Amino acid sequence: MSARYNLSILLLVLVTFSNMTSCKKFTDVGAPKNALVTNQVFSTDASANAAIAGIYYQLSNGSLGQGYTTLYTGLSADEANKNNISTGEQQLLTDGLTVDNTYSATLWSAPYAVLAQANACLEGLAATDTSTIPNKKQYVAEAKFIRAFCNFYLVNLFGNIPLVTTANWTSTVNIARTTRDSVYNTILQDLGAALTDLPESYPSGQPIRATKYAATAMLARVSLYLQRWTDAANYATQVIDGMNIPLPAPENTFLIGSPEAIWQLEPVGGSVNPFETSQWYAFGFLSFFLTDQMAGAFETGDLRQAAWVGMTNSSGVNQYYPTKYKGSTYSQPAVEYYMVLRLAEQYLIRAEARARQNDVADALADLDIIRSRAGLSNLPAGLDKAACLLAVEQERRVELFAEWGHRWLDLKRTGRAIAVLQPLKPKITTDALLYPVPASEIQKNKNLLPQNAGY
Amino acid sequence: MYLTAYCKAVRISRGQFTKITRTMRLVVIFILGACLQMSAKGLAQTVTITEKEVPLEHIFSLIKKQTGYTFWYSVELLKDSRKVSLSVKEAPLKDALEKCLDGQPLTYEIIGKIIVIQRRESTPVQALPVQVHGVVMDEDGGHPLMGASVRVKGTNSVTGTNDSGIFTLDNVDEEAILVISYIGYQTREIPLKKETALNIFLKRTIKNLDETVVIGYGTTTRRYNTGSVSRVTSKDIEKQPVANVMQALQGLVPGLEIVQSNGYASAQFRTVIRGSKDLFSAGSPNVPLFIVDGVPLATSNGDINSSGLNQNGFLGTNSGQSPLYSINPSDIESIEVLKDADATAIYGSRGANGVILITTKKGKTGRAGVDINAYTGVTLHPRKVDLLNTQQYLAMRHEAFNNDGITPTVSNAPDLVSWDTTRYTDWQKVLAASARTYDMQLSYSGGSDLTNFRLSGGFHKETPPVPDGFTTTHFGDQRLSGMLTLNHSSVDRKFSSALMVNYAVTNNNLAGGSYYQFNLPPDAPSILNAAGKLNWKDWGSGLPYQFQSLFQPYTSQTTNLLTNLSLNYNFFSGFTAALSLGYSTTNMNQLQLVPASSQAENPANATSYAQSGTNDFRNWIIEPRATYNATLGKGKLEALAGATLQENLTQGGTLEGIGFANDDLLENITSASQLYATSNYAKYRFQGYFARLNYNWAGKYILNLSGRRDGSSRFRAADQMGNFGAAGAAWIFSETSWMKRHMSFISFGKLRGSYGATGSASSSDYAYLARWQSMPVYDNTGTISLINPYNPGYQWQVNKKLETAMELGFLNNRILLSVAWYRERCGNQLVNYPLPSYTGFSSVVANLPALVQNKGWEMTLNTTNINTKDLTWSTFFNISINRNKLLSFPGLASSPYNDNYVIGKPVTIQKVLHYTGVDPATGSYQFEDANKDGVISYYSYGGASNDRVGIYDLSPSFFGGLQNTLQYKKWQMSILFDFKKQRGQYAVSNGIAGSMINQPVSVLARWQQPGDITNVAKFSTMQNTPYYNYTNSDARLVDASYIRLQNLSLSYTLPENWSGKARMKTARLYVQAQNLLIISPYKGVDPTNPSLSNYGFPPQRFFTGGVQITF
Repeated sequence: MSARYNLSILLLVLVTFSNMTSCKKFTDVGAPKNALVTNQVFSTDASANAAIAGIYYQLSNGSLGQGYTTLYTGLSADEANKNNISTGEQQLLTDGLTVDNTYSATLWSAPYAVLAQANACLEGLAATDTSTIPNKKQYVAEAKFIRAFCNFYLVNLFGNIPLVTTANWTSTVNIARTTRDSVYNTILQDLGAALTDLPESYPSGQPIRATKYAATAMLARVSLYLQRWTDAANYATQVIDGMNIPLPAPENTFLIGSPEAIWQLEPVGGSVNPFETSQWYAFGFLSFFLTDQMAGAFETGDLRQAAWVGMTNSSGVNQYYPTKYKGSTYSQPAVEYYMVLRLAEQYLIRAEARARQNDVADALADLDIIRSRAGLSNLPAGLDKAACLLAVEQERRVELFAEWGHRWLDLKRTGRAIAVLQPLKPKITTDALLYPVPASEIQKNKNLLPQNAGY
Repeated sequence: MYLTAYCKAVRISRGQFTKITRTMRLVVIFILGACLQMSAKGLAQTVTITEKEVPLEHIFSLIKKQTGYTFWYSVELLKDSRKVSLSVKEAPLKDALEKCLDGQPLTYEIIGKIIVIQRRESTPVQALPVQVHGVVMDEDGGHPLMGASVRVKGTNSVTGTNDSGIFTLDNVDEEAILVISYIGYQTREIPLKKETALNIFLKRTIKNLDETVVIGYGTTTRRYNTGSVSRVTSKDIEKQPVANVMQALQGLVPGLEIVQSNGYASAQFRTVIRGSKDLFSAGSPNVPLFIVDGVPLATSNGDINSSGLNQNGFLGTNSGQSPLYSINPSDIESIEVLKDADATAIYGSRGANGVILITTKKGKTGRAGVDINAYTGVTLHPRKVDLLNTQQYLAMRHEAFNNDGITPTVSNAPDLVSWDTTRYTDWQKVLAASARTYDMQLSYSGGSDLTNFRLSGGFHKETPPVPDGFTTTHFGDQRLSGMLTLNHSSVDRKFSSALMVNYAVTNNNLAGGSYYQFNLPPDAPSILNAAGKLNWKDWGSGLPYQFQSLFQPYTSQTTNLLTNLSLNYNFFSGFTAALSLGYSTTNMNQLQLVPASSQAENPANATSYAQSGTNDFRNWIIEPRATYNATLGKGKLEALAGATLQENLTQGGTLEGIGFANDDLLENITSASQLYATSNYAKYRFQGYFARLNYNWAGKYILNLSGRRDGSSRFRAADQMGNFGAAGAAWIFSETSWMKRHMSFISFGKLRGSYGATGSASSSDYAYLARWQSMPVYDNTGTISLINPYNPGYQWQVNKKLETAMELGFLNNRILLSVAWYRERCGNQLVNYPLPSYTGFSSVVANLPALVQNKGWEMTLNTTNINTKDLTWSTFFNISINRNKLLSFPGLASSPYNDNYVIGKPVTIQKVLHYTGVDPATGSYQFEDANKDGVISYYSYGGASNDRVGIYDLSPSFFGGLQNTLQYKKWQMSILFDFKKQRGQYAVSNGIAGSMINQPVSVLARWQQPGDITNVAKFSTMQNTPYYNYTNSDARLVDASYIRLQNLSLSYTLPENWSGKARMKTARLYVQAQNLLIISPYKGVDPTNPSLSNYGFPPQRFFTGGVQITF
């Protein structure tokens, strides 16, 4: 072959080589096509909105939205039991948890996972202004509301907790736990800020994002837990008067569009209707079931029992399970959303707050609103304060059973847990009323010590 | 028959002669083999003649008498011959012939056992100088030989071949004779006879030592290699009826540990070279770099040891498909495993975990040939676990309920209350009733001087063990593959090109999960009811039906294209530039159907569901490089420089469809009432610049330097580039005159050593970016969530490797021994650092300043025990001993790793409770309370102690293989054992003895009453804390050592006169068995993979028979 041919090939090789050396940027691939980096997310109102909606998505898709709070605290309290029970679930049932219990650890990590999304949004939004993100205030309020909601469950289940207010792990990886009171202060601050900037409703018309009512309802609940009776009653009144609707019949309570709903979660992650019922009963097999104590707690003629409790007969034994949600988990049509906050609880909060403030008559009036919806007669007018409080406890039990761990948290906050649960769980101690900080967490951050007492 | 006929015709007239010659040439070729066989009778090849002044014909007849060789010549030819005097004693035939023809106008040629006497042609008067090109190739493999010496006989004109085996010589006499020599090959003399373009094939002399060994961007030989490279060739792969070539490597490569993850043909093989280097790895730990004909696998190396092709998070029934399953083992010529720094540093940032080079078969110049190979066989479970029969099982259950004080009910004990307790099912037998394997290979190869090709096609099918009532058509892993290699060079031999195209389609039809639950209660109802349908009813709800997965089909289909084009141009003597272009793509489609009818007796209670997954990998690589060969002083210098640009694109996702109007719509996933999609995307780019300098001084001293500068997109811009390099040297001391004089029994002796650094970027893509990804809709808004936390950055993991080795050959290399010592220290560990879950994330990619050491010995021994015409027997033995140690880990005590690692101990340890036996008083398992705090604690909190004082290493203390190959006449036999000394988890049952799970018969020795001294706790139905502790104690970590008869192969080659009649070149019948026998104290499922408990299919046992025919 000719010399010229030789030369041209040599040239080609040289060009290829020199191209390479100029390829410094060759390995700079940027962000992947299916992802955004933080400053891209908070560059438009639409994508910021998508990030906020993402917090709800994570809440609905995670363990919290799939009913695990109900199931595990239900085992700890006197609500739930399970067929084919596992070792870890057995520990919950007997209130004899070990520090490596993975079920209680789920109730630790699930709210924190949602909380991290809220913190990431808050940090992303902090660097923006309303000229790029017109709805910035609302988004901040929503993120703070959900952060408060998550912290509420964490502080009630675990006591002192690491208070995480940033998504930057480098500044939180070694933190110590914050006292219950400080956590509550943060919750109140977040809810207060949320209340200011949240709207009363959303274009979709469905209360599946946080509204002023949701923030107020949470404030009512938090006040109740903090035994700030006046605040609790006031916030509850704001919700009750603001919504100004009669309670719907029990079978309509959990439906999409239920007038009683203050805050619901839209089912996601494959479920059309809330996941919770299938956790109890699916494919014709009963997994979790209501304890005899719970199933037997209804007064005769209680419409809620007919509407909200199902029964299956397994080889001659009747077993009961909640049927607040009836829609098929995966099949259309979508009939229910997952209820988080609803009006009945506000009546019960106000009833209790009023009773605590010795206003038994008004307390009974609130209870009777709940009872009449359930087709029950009014309570006798002459009840004393103590009896009224027991009536509140009973009404909360049958109204709010299998909903977000109300029973377990109520028994704990009212100091009634040991007295009520001891007959069922002979080994229960006051230490058992707080779940342990998961051992795996302490392995990663020894500043979380000391562990809760008794573990 | 022809032979005898012509042998008689010693005197033939001239006219007849030419005609006969023509016919003869053909006949001779045909009978050549037969003649050679006859020589086995031991005819003398030497002659003893003492004659003076006798006619040539007389000498010829004497030679014929003594040797049995026949002479062919025309009568006229000898008219001009002189009388000869000859005096030779036991002289080789050729010497005698040469002496008697010396000075005669005659010459001779030996064809088979015939000596043809011809007229000596007079040399031409004037010869013209010409330019000559040629390519020198290995006769066996057909691959070019680089650095062969080409000399013009009787002159000083000499040159060497380039890395394509090509040489050019100017001003050569057109009738000159070329002398081609190459170490390890027989020197050949080629008369040019006016030809200017030549294909020259060299025959190997001694195998093993001078066999070509493929290394990074080149080849070398075992003799001159300065690095640690193990080689397995097609002859060892072909003996093993395996679907995945990794399985065939077990026991054949020192330092390479291969564990089959389960018994599916498409399963993953965990492949680790020289021990675990990674702590909790950020990517896929310890994965070697796989390169096929210069092209990395399309999947990159991500997850090769775990999920393989299934990188969309949808693992499938086989727990992930091996990317290597798409490569037909029959298309593989050799596999080289590169281990030390010298061999791997040329791969820089990717070489830390070793490199596995797969080289495919190429065409051979010569007559086109067709090769057909087919086998079929049965598959069996290799081991059965001895479990309780129904009577024993029921007695155990009753005793457990008694002990617990609980009454059996329908819901907690259907096996006692509602099932037919007279039933007995040996689930191990029923669930693995039948399985088959089929394999068919066809290849066609050939070529001319300038072009050669090989075209092949293959089909392989394996079914997993199928339960009674199902047929092998339900399930199976199958592969259809085709491959083309094409080599071409220009007439002047300056330009050459090679193309390889490999295409494979795989199709796996499996049950939707493992149904191999052999420890179900032995009285459990049947799989199918009398109507042949799912037997929900008999099972009931206490222990619901367990075989849904048989009715939930899983399919995965892949297409795999792997192609490489390499272009070489020889600019001038010694200097060659090459460009290698590679492209590979793999596409996988998975589909899992979960019909409502498979979920409940009444399908109305269930929702049908389907999931599909796609994985699409595209990879291109461009590698320009230049080599320069020169003679420098007494040595040969070889310089190499090049660059790599590579991109891997991974795309895919899953689609879940929920709620179908009818189960028959499941395959059309879009007809679901709800659809959910996830997406997967990663672009990985890599650039590298490399150089190597090799200097071989007089075949005695070799120095090899290599270096590389790499950049990877897996790191943020500031941390992208890294430098790696190594130095290797070898001294062939057997070449010294002192050794030759005093230690001549050592036919080969080499000392070699190397030191260098390689890297590992074992991290997922984009891990340095805080990334937000699309999530499904909420409130009519497509949502996004933060999926990866903020990361301040991280860098390469660096592995510094040191090796020294001695290689010895004795008795003319009939015994070859190699002993290597190595030490690797892997630091700057790139890990998924666990974060407390309250941060919202489970881990973050980070560098840990910990140092992991692997130190060990590898020994190989090849011996040719018997080497006669009829019988050859050779043995290959290898053993590897690796010791792993965590050298340092600053801050271990306060890190999340404290329960996993101990400084000074291997990183593969488990820290467990120390089991002290069963309490004779209570019948409960007991453990050592090491910290004397009165309770047995498994967990500890930063600083506090726990009772996990049992520290056990789960990596093997040694492993290796022993292969014997025997050939007796037409019989060939090969036996391969592999062995491993290790400790492993023993878990036949995942429940306490007494629960609704069958148990090994050893539980019968349980505690029954106070005072009983035993090792099995009392039966109980409760998974209580002592049992939980038991599973986390050293009682479960047992000896899982084994010796396995991995492969037995026996073949018989039909005599040529039989196969010849059918126009076959050769025909061979064979039987092969894989995984034939396991000798082990281990009582669990399979000691080769002790992590397989009661659900996974263990690697299967194969018995196959087949036939191979070459035309």
